[in-house]
Amino acid sequence: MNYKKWIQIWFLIVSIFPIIGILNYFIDPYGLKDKENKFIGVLTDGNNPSILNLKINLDADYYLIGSSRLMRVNPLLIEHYLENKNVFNVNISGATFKENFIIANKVKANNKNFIFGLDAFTLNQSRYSSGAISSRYNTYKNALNVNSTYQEYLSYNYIAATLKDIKKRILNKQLDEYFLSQDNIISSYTIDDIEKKLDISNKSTHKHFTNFKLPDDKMIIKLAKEATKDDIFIIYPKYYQHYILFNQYQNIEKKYFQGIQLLVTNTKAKVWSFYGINSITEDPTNFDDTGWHFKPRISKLIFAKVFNNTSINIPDDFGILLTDKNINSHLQKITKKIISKKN
Amino acid sequence: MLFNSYEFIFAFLPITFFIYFYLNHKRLTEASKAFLVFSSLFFYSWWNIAYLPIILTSMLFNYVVGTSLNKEQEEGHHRFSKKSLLAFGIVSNIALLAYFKYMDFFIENINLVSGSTIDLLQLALPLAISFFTFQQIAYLVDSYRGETAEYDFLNYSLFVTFFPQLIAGPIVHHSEMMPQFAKTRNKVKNYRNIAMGLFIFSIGLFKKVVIADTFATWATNGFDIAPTLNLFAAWATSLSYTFQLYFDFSGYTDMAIGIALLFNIKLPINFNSPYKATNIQDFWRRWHITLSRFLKDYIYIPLGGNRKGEFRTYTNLMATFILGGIWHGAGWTFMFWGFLHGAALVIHRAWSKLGFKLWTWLAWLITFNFINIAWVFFRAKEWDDALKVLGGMFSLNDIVLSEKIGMKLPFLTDYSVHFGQVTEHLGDGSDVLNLLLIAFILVLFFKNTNQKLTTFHPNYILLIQSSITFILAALALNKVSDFLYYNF
Repeated sequence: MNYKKWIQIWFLIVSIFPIIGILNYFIDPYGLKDKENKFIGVLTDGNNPSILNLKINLDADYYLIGSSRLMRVNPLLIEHYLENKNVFNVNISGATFKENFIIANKVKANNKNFIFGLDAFTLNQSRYSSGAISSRYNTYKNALNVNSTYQEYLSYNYIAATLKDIKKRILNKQLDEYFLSQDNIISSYTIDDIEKKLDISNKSTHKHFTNFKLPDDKMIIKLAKEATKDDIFIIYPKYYQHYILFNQYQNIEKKYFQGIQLLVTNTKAKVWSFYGINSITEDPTNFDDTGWHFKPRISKLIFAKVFNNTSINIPDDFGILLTDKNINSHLQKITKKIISKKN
Repeated sequence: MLFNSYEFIFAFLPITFFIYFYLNHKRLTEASKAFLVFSSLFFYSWWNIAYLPIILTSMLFNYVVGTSLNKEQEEGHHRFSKKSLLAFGIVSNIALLAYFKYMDFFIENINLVSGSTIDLLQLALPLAISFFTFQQIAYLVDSYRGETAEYDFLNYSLFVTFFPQLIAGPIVHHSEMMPQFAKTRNKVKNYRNIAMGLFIFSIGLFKKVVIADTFATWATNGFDIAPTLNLFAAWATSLSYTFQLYFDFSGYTDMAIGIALLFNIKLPINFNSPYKATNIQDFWRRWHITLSRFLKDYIYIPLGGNRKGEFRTYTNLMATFILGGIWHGAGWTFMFWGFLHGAALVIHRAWSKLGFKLWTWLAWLITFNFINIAWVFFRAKEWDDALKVLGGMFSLNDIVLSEKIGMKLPFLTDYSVHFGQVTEHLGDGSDVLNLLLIAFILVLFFKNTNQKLTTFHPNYILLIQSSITFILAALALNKVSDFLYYNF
């Protein structure tokens, strides 16, 4: 082989590279161009910093920000309620408040809206003593600083997702297989199982669940004030036994409620709460195997309530819009009910 | 503009290449050279155009001084004025470097010693200033010695700004560059050089964006984020940096050599499997070779080298390496790193004089570990960071083994062993350990890129290897990361 031929073949092989970008663009596994006919498990997975950033750079109308609970929320469901709006799911599994905060900041800097999910342990600042969490925060922070979009189509992550998408289609997998598998989880656990698994009694070394400490008030207030009337905060439900443990250990309930109060009294956005003992949270079959995450079918009830869809039958005691007028009485009522259930 | 960016690889480089050879094809050789200088300055200004006047002024100043020194040589003027002119040139260059690079360090220490509160200047370090300053000091010294020819300003500008080596070397010598720029044969596309250039560039890009950037995450987590490090996490941290630095800088150099080859210019090699070194002197013959060459020719030998007795040889070695440390950055940790290497060279020289010999494997082990430990000071932003990593590396009070081992050998808890994530704070334990193992294999048992280049023949194996390497690296270009030596 002579040098010239070697160079020609080299360029021929390397020309696969732009083809990869074109393939990624047209297969569109993350539903960036169009969410119809896409695998729901991929639409709801935000655990990739650069893809998450790409979604934000693409300037959708609404972003679903939060933790792994949002992996049970189909952005198409929200698009159905918010007609002609583009919605992306940008959750991070096991997210911290600081991570969600920087995502929300970028969304608001772009003058877009969010639906921000709150969760007790998302707010636990002590989790930053875990090196993995600190380093993940830095990874997301660095990714969010990148403003261009096109290069993501030429990345390992994207081609991996494209190849998986093609493989699933060849194997004739159902688009909602992820939600079906989640909805079919058989939940059988006791409060002892939960306590053993999560161990929030503050005796364990599990950094996610120990030394519960809220973020600085200033951060919560900044987020609250940044939000506009079109933004929404949602306190997602858990299986009620977690609420008993939150009441019992580390003053979690009290601290968490302080954070919620701070948010509600400082924001123009709507704050919806599904926290507390109600007919949904009392039923273990509505949750996964530790009661930590609601099942995808519950997300339909949550958003039917938020968007006032009366065609869906929602228990009356499930979900309340919090205002600075009802917040104190509502939280007191929740505490009372939890204590009486505990006893 | 970074070598590892889309804009460089897919826009700047091909456009510059085609226009340069088009102009040469039309026999507009001076225009092609001018275009290359313009492209290089554009490349340089991409980061911050504010730096452009600095490099232009420095270039013009050194050209004028160098030419004057050269003329004085020819005209046989009085030696004193020549010496003064050289001193003026060197001092001016060092003053420029000192102002931008060392002024804050100097003020910090004045404040510390005297208790004063002088404000820091907080100047941004102009890109590549350490490199182009050294390169031009060498030019002045050689002009003084009468070792330079009469170069025109365009050639001189190309020597200083030629974009493949402008930002982080290799530190080139005018005597190896000027004849290449002048050679007529180099103005015609050369398929052999293009093939070799693409080959070495692809390997360099892979080394940087796939290997070095992966180690970078773990090194950053260990040095900058982790509050404490257990025994294995500390070793993984230091080794991650040791490999990050090598793959980053040698990757950059490979890319620079590859790009220059596209333009028919051969840059000097900078690395020759440094981690295979079996003593510290051997290491410095293999690591950042062009810097070692500069330090030897322009500091060590002028100080007297080994010609003035053993004691002076030792002090000259120490002085050269402490200066080498400071060249890398304004900080006591850099100076200490230079001191450690200087001391190691002194010990090695004394040891060799006594005629002692070690088994090769033991010599390698000692050398590699010394280098690895010394890099801790080079990397650490503060003394405390260095002490944190070294504390972890040499403390037996915090040993963490995997839970799998814990299930088999639970009695180890009696000996203060904990079970959990071995590389806590760094990243996934198995990933870290696997890549460290692969890196050891690569640096110890494989030919380096320079060796591969000397035996390069256009065949299918190298074709597949090179093109796949390029594609894999290009797929990781979405993560922007600087080269470590851009900071020096």
